Amino acid sequence: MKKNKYDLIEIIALLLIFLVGAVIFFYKLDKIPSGFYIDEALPGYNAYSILLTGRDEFGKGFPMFFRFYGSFNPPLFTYLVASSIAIFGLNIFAVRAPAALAGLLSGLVVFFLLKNSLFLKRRASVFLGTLFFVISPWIILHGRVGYEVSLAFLLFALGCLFLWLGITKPKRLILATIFLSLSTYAAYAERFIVPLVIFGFVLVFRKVLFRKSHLRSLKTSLVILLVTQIPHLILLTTPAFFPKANLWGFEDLGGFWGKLGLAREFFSRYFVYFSPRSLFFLPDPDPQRSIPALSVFYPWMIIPYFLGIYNFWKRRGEDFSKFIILLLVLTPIPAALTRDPFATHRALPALLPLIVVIAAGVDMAIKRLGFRIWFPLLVITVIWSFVLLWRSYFVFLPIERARLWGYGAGELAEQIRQRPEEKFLIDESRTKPTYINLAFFSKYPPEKFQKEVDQNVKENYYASVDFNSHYRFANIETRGIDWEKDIYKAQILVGDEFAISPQQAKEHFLEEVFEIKDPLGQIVFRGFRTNPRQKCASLPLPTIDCTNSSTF
Amino acid sequence: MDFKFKYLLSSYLLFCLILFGNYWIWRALSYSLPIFILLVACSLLGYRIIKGKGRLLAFLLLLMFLVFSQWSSTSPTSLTVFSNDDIRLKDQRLKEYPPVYIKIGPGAIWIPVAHWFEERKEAVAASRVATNFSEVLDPNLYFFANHPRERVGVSEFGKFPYVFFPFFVVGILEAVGLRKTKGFFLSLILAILLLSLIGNKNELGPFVLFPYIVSITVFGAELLTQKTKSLFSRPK
Repeated sequence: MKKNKYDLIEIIALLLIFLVGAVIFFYKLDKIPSGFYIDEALPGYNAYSILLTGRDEFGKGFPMFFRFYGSFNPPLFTYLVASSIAIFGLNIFAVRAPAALAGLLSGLVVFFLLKNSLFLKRRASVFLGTLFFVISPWIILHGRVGYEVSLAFLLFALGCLFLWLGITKPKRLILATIFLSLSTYAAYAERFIVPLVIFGFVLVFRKVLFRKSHLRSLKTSLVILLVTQIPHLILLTTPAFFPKANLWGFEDLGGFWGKLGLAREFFSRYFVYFSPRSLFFLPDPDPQRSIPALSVFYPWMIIPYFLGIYNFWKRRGEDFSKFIILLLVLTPIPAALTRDPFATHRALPALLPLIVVIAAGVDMAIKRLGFRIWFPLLVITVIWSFVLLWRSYFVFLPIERARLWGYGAGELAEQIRQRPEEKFLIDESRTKPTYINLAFFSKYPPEKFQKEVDQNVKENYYASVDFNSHYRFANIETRGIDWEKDIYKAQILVGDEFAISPQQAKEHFLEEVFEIKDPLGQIVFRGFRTNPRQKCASLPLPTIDCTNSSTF
Repeated sequence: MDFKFKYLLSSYLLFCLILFGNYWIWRALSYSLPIFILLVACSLLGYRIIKGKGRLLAFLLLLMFLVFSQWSSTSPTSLTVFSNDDIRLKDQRLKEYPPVYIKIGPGAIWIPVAHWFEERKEAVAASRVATNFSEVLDPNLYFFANHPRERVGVSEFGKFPYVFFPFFVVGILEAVGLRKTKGFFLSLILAILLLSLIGNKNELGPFVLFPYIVSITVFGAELLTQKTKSLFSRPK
């Protein structure tokens, strides 16, 4: 009876946590982050294209990697978005919803991992660990965006959960293999982390895994792993498998001192993923990948973090400690190999062991403090966390980071829609490619788009990594402005606030037709209508462009 | 007896290697001889405390001199005065907040959240103390010259060779649980809190922490050396 009572309380507590999580993950999902980043528009439009035609934007049927703009992203997320678009239609919510759901469901995996760890002494610690995961800025930021990292995290976390369970129940190893293998098709970082984790796990737990009771499951897992990795093995030698090799951030100067310098460079980047300054106080240095004035965890979590590390060190002989230390050590490696100082999207798998460490620290704290102390402390810290989250994520981010999140592309698509008879030239000399956002927002028919793009790409799909930002579809062209020719054609030139200066506008008789501003009031796009007739009339001798112009 | 002498000799050799085998101590010497002497003496006493032999009172006495040196040589930065950029950001953020109020019947109680967060001196001071605190706690500051997250406007310098870092980690995890080091770690927390208040804008950085890092690193190095020795000397 007592057990049932506790089970009911557990279920209610878990439901409450997930209710809070659902609100955090889904509230204004299509509005915050404001804008629609190119990395969201690419899977969004390609998923739409797959849904309607079974082919991506280049006309490639069900690709194994999506070429996008040369990044060759793992395919799982895009295929999942296709089903979401089938339900919700082509809109921002549909692209972000699978990621948000994956982020929320990851909380459930964290719960089961903590519950089955047999490491935490207090039942409350399991729920608190889950709650802290669900409200952690790291998963919220990457869970509320339309790209793949939170889905990959969910699959990786499931894989790790079943790896852990597999120590005592061998058949779970098969599930672990399936999820870990799947995660390599969800995000780039997992492609490198998963082999390391599998190798490390087998090495650390070899005495258990090579017992007679485990051998059969181990063999089956190996076969499953090999079979599920066939697509990767086929594409292993193509440029599509290593498109991000340019992110490798080390230069070997040669010789002993060069090697020592290389090691120093690597370790400095590696230890940043454990540094309290980076985890609790400083946001990711890339403003597009961070929340203003908030790091990846809340500042107060530094105390359970230290306690947790001590707890694991003290009990390092236990299997669960070995497992978590293994994950802690391995998960930041791929991120540390790239040149970014603290790449939170690449290091997202490290969130799993880190949140377990924090939960272990909380467990240690509540064991030492009485209920009368820890409970009010907990209430204060949770309320404080919500206030910080509200301020940074829901107030600052949509305003301060709108431009970085591609704000204005939807508004630009609307301007283009209102002028179907006019031609638009979008300047891309400095800005990120906008073609895909415009195709997304204008819901441009994929079968037409596939015919209008460079047909050579499809022929050489996995080998051609170069990206050409020159696109022409509908009444839109994207490339840099050619000031010697484009002013003699009747069209609307669109660029950011620096693309067309007032002097250029005056000299070439350009008339401003629209201006799109971000929530801070800064110009994102400006559109200028050309006036070839007046421009040509102003010339002492008409140029060849004046005589050739079709608009005369 | 012979074994004990050998052990002591190797321990103090290791101590000297770590104490003098870093850039920070030589920078301290070129900056000020008294600070150099204080750092050496404090490190030795700190190391002896961790080993359960030293006197905490003597360590704390020397530490007080060191704290005074840190205080007097650090450029004081206000915790509440706004720079021009702070004012720009504050003004911008004040406009970003939505109106926050609680509706009661026909009236409403307005909550000045924006003012609390962006303008109140307590909030500004708390944020700066947190920044100072995070800087002092960052291992990369001591072992990698704060690379790859160098601070703007601060001339970062390498303090300890990065190969000492694993010894430091092992040392702190092992030493923190020892009963005899309670006072030692309590004084470390106080030193960190002090640095959080005054900052570490100083030619030498947060040098008051030097003795702690050296003694903990030596302790960790000793433990790892013993562990390695025992691994290799296991009877077959």
